[in-house]
Amino acid sequence: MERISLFCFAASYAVSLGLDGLAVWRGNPVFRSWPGAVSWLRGGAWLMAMAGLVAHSLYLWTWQPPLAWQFGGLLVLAWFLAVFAVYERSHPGRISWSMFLLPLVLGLVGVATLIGPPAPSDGRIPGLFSTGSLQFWNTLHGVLLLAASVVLSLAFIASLMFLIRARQLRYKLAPGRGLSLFTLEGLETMNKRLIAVAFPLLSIGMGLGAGLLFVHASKLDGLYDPRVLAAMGLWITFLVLFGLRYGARFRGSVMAWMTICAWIILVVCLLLPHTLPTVPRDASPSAGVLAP
Amino acid sequence: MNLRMVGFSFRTTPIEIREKLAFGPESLRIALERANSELLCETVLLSTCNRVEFYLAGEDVPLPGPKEIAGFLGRIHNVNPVDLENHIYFYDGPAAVRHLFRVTGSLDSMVLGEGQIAAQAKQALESAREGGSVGPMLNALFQHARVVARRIRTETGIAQGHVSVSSLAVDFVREVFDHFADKTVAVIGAGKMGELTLKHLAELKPKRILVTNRSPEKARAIAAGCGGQAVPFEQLDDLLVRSDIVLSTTGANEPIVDQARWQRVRSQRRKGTMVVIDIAVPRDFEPSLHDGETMCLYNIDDLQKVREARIAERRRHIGAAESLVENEVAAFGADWSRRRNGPVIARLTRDFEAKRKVVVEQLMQKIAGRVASEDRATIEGAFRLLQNQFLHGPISALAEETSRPATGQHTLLDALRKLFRIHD
Repeated sequence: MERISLFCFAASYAVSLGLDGLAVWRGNPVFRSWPGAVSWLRGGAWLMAMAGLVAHSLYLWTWQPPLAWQFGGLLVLAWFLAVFAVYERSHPGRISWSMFLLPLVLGLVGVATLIGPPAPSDGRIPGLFSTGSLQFWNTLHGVLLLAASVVLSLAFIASLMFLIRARQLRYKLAPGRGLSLFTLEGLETMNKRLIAVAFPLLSIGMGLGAGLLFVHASKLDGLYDPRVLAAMGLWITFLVLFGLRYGARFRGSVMAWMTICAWIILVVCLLLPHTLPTVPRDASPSAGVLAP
Repeated sequence: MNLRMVGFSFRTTPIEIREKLAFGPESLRIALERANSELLCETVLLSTCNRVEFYLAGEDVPLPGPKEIAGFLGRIHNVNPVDLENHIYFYDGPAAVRHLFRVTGSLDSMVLGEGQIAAQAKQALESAREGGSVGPMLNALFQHARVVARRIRTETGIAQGHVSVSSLAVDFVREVFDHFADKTVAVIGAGKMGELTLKHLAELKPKRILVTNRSPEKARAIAAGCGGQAVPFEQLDDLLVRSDIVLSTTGANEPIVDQARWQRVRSQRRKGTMVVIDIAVPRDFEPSLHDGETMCLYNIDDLQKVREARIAERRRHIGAAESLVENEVAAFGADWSRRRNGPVIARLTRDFEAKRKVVVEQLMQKIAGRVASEDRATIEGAFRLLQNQFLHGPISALAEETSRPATGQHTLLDALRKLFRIHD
């Protein structure tokens, strides 16, 4: 299992995406002489996505990269999105989720590859997240922020789909032509619900983080940690988004663009390193040099 | 195969004649009863608004030709048969099979790829069964035609998407909305063109349908017809504020909803997107109101454009559908040949087999002890070869005859039965 690399599952996801792309290419002349081709392509795409997900899972299981690292955070977020993509792929009417999620998954894995795992000598994690009496709260803080990231990423995809669907409608594209998406109403509702779920997760997760900073009184300089600052920016953006969601009637596209902005801030948060004082990472059998 | 199709369709016959030849349920029943006594063969009568076709078949019987069918129809519908003869067409044998497969696959329909014809062919077979005019060949043929129609619809793109303007309007609505139980449909005007579209919209089961018209009586009449509620025309703004889907078909000379009115309405709306199907000419809504998000506005030109594009797309699949039909015609011919000749060929082969065994046995007894076992096998093989070569001619001739229409009462099958004394 240690031979599984980032390339293994990234390649599987890419092939799956390619097969799906071929299947939705309606002008493909092959389909006129071989109508069953679409089913084969979709079946192949599902298998490849599944293979990628299994490899991705095994990779995470083997190396267990901490969430506090950019590398670990990006890979774990990509894993959750891949799970959702594969699940949605199993429903014939929801293949568009997979078509949008897999490029995002590939992007996150790509960025994780560029950042790379820390060298063994840097195998330290911020003291705030070390094990100890507050381990439960540390874990909960990480899990809630991760869940908020997953939900916000889904809202980002729903917003992208909304904007594309609105564009299709603006140009009066014939029904059934172009990329097959959900209805405009469905996408707007989806976006609103995802924001309604993500905001409490983010707020509680950040509240816990603030509490932990307070408990570790000596580490209050963590307030100047770039990741913490970016997360506060994200929370403020979310607050506006949440206000739009429940407040006055705004166009769906305004909500969609705001969601996209929020997601970009999330990515910045994930890419920024913690500058909190670090402690050695807990020794674990697999904690070592990560495969590239 | 002894099969013939004689008919009239929109391609050869004007509507004035077609409407005289059309069959209702009762006249169809009477026609099939009379066909049993007058045409003396298996008969299925396919009658739609675009065609009246007789499918005729029989085992070793002469089938009625175009003149007889024109006469038969003339007697039933009180039409001069001579008026019909110029419009009639007919196909025999595999050409008739091909025609039926093309018809049920809607390759010969006025609207390419329409789905009604397959159901109508099924109904024609049911009626013929009830009238007792269908036999084994037409039964098998129409069953096979159903399979072909299904294959054409599912394996080619010939039936992709709706092509009627009213269905297309609903398709556009479905691109925007997920569910309709909480939606309000507004109908403005009372144009005839809107009736079918309104019927399709009502099938979505919206929460309510509101109808307005300059004439309150007309509004009430339309509302009563679709289970809606009439609203005074003066309350048009309020109607637009409350509506999600608008069907507009007024006869107004100027747009009734312009930018100013829409801005006024929009500022009061608490709902999301409004879909407007404006099938009035001149248009009721200013085209510039369309933005694809707060308002999705489709006029008659938009719907026609999509309709034409869809028909053009369907045409691209004709080649694949035609080649599927050709394969199925061959498959049906081979299948029917097996069904018809199979028992005779089996009997013939069995008789020859038995006779060969007796002759070979007698020969072997006479030359017993004088030939080696290898030579015995060679002799037996030679007799088997002789039998196969002898039977090859009659069996091939039988297959060839099956693919041609019968020309008289005495067929090769009869000849074989007599020549080789094969009795059922």
